[in-house]
Amino acid sequence: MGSQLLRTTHPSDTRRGTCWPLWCLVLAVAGSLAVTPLARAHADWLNYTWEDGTPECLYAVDPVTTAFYGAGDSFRTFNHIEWHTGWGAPVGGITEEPQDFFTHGSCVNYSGERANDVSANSRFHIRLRQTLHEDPELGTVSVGSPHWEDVESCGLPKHAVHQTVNGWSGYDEGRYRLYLDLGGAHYTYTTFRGNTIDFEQCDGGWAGSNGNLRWFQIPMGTH
Amino acid sequence: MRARKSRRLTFIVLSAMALVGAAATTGSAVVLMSGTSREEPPPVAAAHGAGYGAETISLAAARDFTSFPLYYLGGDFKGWPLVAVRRTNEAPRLGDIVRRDDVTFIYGRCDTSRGSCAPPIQVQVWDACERYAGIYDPLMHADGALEIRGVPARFYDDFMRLELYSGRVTIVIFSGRRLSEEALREAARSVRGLTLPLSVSENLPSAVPGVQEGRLSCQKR
Repeated sequence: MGSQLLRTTHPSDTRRGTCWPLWCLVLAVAGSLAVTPLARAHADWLNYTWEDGTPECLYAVDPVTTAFYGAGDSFRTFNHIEWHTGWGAPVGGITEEPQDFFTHGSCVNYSGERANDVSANSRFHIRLRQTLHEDPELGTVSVGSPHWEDVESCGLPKHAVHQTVNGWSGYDEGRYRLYLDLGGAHYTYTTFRGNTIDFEQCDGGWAGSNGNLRWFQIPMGTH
Repeated sequence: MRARKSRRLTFIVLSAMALVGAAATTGSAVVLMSGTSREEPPPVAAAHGAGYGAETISLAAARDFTSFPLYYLGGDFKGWPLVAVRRTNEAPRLGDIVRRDDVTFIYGRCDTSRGSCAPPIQVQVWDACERYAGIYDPLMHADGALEIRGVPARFYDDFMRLELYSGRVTIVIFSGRRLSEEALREAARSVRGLTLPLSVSENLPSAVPGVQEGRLSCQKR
């Protein structure tokens, strides 16, 4: 198991950000409690978001590429995302389609969303869902599907996730943006989930994640 | 002043105890505390010069592909035509443990009126140096392990994905719909060679020993 952990939580893939002395202590203790038993825990969600309106979550829409654990309820997770990225509750323009998540055997609506610009512009955007039950070892977990989306003329102005170009898609860019902005202050690492479906976009492009899942530790405190 | 010094000393001692405790608990705690180094990504120009990228290619170009053997489902599958063939060879990126190195065969279109959508069936053939059974998140569990066409296989994502481990490639079949076990099995039975002669009635080449567990030299991370 040790070698497996070293492979999936690659040492070169971790960042320790700046933190206040007290936070360092809290993180160290929380790390020993929340991170150490990771390989034994069972976090239960499916690797995509789902088209709203089908009660069984039948049709995949976007890949889930980020997970927030520890004290990762949706309130705290949004608080930290807002603080570190400046993203806010989206407003204006293009009507957003609701999406569902599948967690612990249930198809449930998303908890909320954040974006770095109004919907009439191209922007970063994330939908988030707190998983239904706390994990005894991971704590409270929320999962999200961040992406960079362009405004395209698809009959009406609509959002299209930036297609994969040079091996890099809007899904990868969204996950990477959070890594850059949150990773400096939150313990973070990557595992591989393999959710690499190439999704068709309304502009005819194809966008797919590279299958990596970025984890962020969320502390009890808020900003 | 003395009180401040005392508090600082107390903090240092407590921090050290916490760190030692965390490190002593298990190996992953060691990862936590020692994980401060970073790999720098390769220069973009060099990466592109090495042939990285993603593009839609023709079936004829896919037939000439030589990096690893390719398999697909033919010109159509269950009435869904082959609508796109895409080659993705992603440059290594800071923070990711797997990069895409695959050729994708997409069958059928889907309704984009409500946003992104997954086509009915797609087959991704990956270089097993990047994608193999042992690389997965230990929190993920397969829906079932079985043998198909003479090679080991696994379902994932509530029977939305079937992976076949053959030779030095991982053949990944996706359905755009959850709970598609039978459609995925049928697709696996329809896999045929594109860059090598292999009919639907033949078994796939056996997996190279150690490839699933990540024991090939190219799989070391």
